[in-house]
Amino acid sequence: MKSMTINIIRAKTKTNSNKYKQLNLACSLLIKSFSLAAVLILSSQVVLANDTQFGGVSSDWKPLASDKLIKLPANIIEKRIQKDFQASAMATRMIELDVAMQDGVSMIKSIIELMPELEGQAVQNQRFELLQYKSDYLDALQESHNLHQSALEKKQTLYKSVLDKLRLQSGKMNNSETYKIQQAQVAARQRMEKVIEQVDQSLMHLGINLKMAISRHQANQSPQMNGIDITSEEYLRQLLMSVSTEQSLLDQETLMLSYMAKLVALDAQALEYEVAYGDDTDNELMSETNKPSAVTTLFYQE
Amino acid sequence: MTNFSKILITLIGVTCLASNVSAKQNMLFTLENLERQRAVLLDNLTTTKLEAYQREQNTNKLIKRLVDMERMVLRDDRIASSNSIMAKNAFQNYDLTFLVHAGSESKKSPMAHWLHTLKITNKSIEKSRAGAR
Repeated sequence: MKSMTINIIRAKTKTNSNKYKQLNLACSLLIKSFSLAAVLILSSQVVLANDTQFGGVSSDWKPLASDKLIKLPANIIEKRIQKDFQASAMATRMIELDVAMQDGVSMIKSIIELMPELEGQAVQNQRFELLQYKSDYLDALQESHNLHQSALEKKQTLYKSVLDKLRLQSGKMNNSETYKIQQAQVAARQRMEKVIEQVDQSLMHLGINLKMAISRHQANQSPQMNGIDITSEEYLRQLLMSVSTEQSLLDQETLMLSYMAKLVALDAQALEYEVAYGDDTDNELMSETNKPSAVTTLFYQE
Repeated sequence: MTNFSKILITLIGVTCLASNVSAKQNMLFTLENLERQRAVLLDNLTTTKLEAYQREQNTNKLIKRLVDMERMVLRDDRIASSNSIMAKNAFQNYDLTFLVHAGSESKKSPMAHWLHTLKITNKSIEKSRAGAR
């Protein structure tokens, strides 16, 4: 009886320990699932900088846009890149993951199919096993997803690099060709400019003669100042200066005229006094030189 | 109304495209004109339909036109940017392209210069035989 009781206790303890084990496993799976979901959400927003995080160094692919690749035809470039990728460790790892996922999926399907037939503890065990497979599947899926993303990014970078190199190459070619033509044109232009006058003279001498006749014509001659050709503007400016000089002279003459008029008036006044009061002895004594009319000539030059 | 606006947009697009294409084609416009005129000059020389006087009259007219055209080509910056073989050949063979100016350099008439450049002489013409190539 005692031994039976011990056995029952042991069985219960075993059952309990199994339960704890399963519970722990379930908890760990739950945490793993949550963390996986979180990582998946994050990975959809942030591009992983390091592709070796999941795949390791062995699953890396480092393509380069070599000069040999650029020289290939466009359709061959794509095939060549694809071939290089397929030969890489990254592609191998992706294939491995695909195989693992396919196996996982088939296992999950078989467990799901078996589940209704089981009872009791076996059902629970199968459920844990199912969860484990699912977890593994998700891990593999995540790794595969990251590898695909990384491969696409690398392809994108590679294509851009190839395109840039192609553009650079064609640009260089175009520029050098354009530069050569430009230089040839400049040289030809310089050559032409050396004979341009000669050509004009030989082919258009009639036109040139007419042009010369026009320039020689009296009516078309430009104004001259001291034998030097000057512009119309300069000529008019000179005319204005001469006019203003003449005006100044006239002003001076006007002033002289007024003085002369005043002298005449004084003479008239003197005559009046002479007629009215007779010949004054003092006046007689006054020499002729004291008369203003006699000295006006001293103030100007004729 | 919507259809009308669509048609209008399409027409504008087509016009822009056509103008763009024609603008690209016109990069060699001056050079093409020169080549055409040069061909007329050479045809004028080689044709048997004209009398000597007519030939001379036509040649004088064509040379006057060529002078302007040659200068236009040499001053047209679009030609260099066209990056075409035609432009490259035109400047490489200055003596054959710019007949009037090159002829003036060598103190020859454009036609005499052309013949001299291609080494066509009286003797070579006399020795030549007419026939199909």
